[in-house]
Amino acid sequence: MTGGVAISAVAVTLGSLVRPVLPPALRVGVIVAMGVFILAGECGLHRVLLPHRRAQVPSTVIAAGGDAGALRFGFEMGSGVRTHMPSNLPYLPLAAVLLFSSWPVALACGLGFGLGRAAMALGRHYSGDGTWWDSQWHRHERVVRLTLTFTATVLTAAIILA
Amino acid sequence: MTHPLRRAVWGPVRVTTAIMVLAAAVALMPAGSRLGWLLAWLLLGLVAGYALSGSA
Repeated sequence: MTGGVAISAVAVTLGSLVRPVLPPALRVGVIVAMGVFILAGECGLHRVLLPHRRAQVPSTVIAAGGDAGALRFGFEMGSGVRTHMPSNLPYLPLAAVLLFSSWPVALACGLGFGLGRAAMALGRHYSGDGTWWDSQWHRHERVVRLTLTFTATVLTAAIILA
Repeated sequence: MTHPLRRAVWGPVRVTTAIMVLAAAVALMPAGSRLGWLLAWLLLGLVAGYALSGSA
């Protein structure tokens, strides 16, 4: 979770340089365009993936890091910086934080991102059967992704309209 | 917790459904609610984080 909060802190700091110079209408336009682009991608209308580091956090980080290894692994995983991104969806909250957030809500968003990352790992672990969890994910991946994307779009719209 | 119950609670479809229901509840909160505003941001992050599940 600290990884997500750290990334959010960076984004809101960078956003503080951008927000004052961009008119609100332009910021809304950018986020709407981003939402449409991501939604179109999840609907299969294009296959463009926005830039990301195509690498996983290696498990050797845990062993090599001594007592702090697991913490470092969790931090990197929570930040989402070193991960394969099968979806462009994380760019939506990133853009929202850059263009619309204040410090408290940016940190809440980062915390949520870390919780989401942890929910996957914890869910897989506590389901008691990782193979079953993986098979469920792969079987329902398209519907789950579409549902998450629609949910994120609705939340972003609610945030902008509030 | 029994094995079938653990699966039912922690399966990706159930978790996604729970997130969606929470998001709908937050979106329906009265405009101007500070708690609703904060929860909307929290859930937006959560949704994006969970969407990367396939990468693990």
